[in-house]
Amino acid sequence: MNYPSVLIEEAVNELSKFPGVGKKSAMRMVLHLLKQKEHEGIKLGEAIIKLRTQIQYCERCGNVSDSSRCNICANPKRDQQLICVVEDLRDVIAIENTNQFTGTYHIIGGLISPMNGVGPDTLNIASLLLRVQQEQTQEVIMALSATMEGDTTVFYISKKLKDAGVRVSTISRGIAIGGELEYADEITLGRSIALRVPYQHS
Amino acid sequence: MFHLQSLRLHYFKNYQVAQLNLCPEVNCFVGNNGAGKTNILDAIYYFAFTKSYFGNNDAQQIKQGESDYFFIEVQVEKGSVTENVSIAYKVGAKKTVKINNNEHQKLGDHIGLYPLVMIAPNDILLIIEGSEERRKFIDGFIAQCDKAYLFNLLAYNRILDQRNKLLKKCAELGNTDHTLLQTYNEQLVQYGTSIYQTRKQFTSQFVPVFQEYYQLISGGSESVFIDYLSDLTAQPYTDLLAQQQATDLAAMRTTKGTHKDDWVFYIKGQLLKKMGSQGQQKSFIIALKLAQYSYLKQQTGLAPLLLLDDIFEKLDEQRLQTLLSMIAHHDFGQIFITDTHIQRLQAVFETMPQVAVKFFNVQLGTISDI
Ligand SMILES: Nc1ncnc2c1ncn2[C@@H]1O[C@H](COP(=O)(O)OP(=O)(O)OP(=O)(O)O)[C@@H](O)[C@H]1O
Ligand SMILES: [Mg+2]
Ligand SMILES: [Zn+2]
Repeated sequence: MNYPSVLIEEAVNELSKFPGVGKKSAMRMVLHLLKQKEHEGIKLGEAIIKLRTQIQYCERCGNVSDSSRCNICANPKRDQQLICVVEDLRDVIAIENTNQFTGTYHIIGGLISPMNGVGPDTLNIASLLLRVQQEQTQEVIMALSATMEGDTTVFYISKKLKDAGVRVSTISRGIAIGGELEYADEITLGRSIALRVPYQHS
Repeated sequence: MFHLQSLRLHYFKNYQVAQLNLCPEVNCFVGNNGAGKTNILDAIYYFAFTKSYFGNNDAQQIKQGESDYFFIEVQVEKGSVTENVSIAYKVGAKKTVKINNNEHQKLGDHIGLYPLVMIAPNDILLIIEGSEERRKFIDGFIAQCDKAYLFNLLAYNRILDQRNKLLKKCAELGNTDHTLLQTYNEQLVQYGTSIYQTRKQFTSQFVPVFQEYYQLISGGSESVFIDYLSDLTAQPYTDLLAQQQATDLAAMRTTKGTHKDDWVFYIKGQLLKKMGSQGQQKSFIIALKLAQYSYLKQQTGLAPLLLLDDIFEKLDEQRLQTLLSMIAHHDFGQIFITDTHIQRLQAVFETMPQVAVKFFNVQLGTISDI
């Protein structure tokens, strides 16, 4: 693509780094920004800068947060003895939207997959084990994708928690096998959490 | 019963576009070497299995240098309903398989909906090649009548890849995550044991059917047998993995399991590969395929599509006659045949006026009715 201005080229290059955004749609965004009043663009720029420089992660659960503890961990109405283990932030948002869950989360940041260079040590699993031990957690609910890697991760964590004296359950798989949690509709997901089943060691 | 009413191709192998209206009984594709006859059969195979019979990857199925996608569309008549099946693949995108415009959740959902048996010149590889060829054949066979088997197989292979990668990593780092290795062991045991049981049960049901067809084809009384070999026969898989742990860590891969299974072919108590004559080997293959046809038909309740590639070149008179008399007796559902000689095929079907036949002329990537 030929650009009439280096400034446009730079903006297009940056925007097209987003997943699912190609050069063409990046160009459309840039042109849209230029058509709007100047302060609209500046507001967007400032929001992005604030987001990147001021965002914090909850030191307890890994959720995004405006301070060192997230809203969920700091909320006395939530059951602090109940932990729902999820892969990433998208899952927290999906489960929160069901309004079915009143416990807390632990974001492990991925699924075990040696093929993709992801081992237990690259995930927030050690912090989960420590947290369960220190906080005398009552129950850990595994809400990971119903994929082979999800299964392995659930299996691995529950082995590690075996002697911790905590109840381990998995969300009931109303979700299609191979289905990603993120895509499960809210009703299915809400029901899955309500109807979670104790995790069985085979 | 089901049959294909029409087939449409876009940029598939040597076809830019092709559109065929098919005969519910026998369809013959006639043309010179290299014209594209086998490619039509491969398109039909692809429709049933969402992959090439020849093990090519999807990009190799696209017409070279002219496109970055291919498209297969088939109208299927199944009982009183018509289904429109379309498969599209584009480089860099996910392959889509749709029935009446509804996309399958997983490609595995498609396998077995339209059972199919192919008889082709390179089938002899089943006898002379290593165990992988036989596992591929048997797996594709069982998967057509057992969904759970296909799922177990995919799961097993995925866990196996992960476990092998972990073994490599343990060697690199010089330390072993025993909990994770044990996790993979237990997952392998779960899927592997179930694969073993299915294969064992399948073999014991299939062998008598096969023996019956071998007698029919050879017209003789030679005894034949197929033996299923697995590491899991001697020991439960759990014990096997525990016992192999040191070996696996040293080899950096999983040395025992159902991924090593094999089937051994015997004739008169001796190895077919070593002691079978060429004629006996050919009879063995044809009997294997006809028994597959009969077994699939019984299991799925549908008469599978039968694809016969170059059989007039490759089969001798006696085996050909058996096959043809079965066609004449309407033992099969819809049939697709390729040949280079139109006279030869026409002469054969003139002797069976009760069978409906349609001939297609194939010329370097174009097809026309004859
Ligand atoms: N992806 C592709 N793009 C273009 N041409 C292809 C592609 N794949 C295969 N072909 C061509 O298709 C031709 C082979 O077609 P096919 O095997 O169907 O021939 P055939 O009619 O069965 O011949 P024979 O009688 O020798 O078996 C070859 O010339 C090959 O180069
Ligand atoms: Mg051919
Ligand atoms: Zn938190």
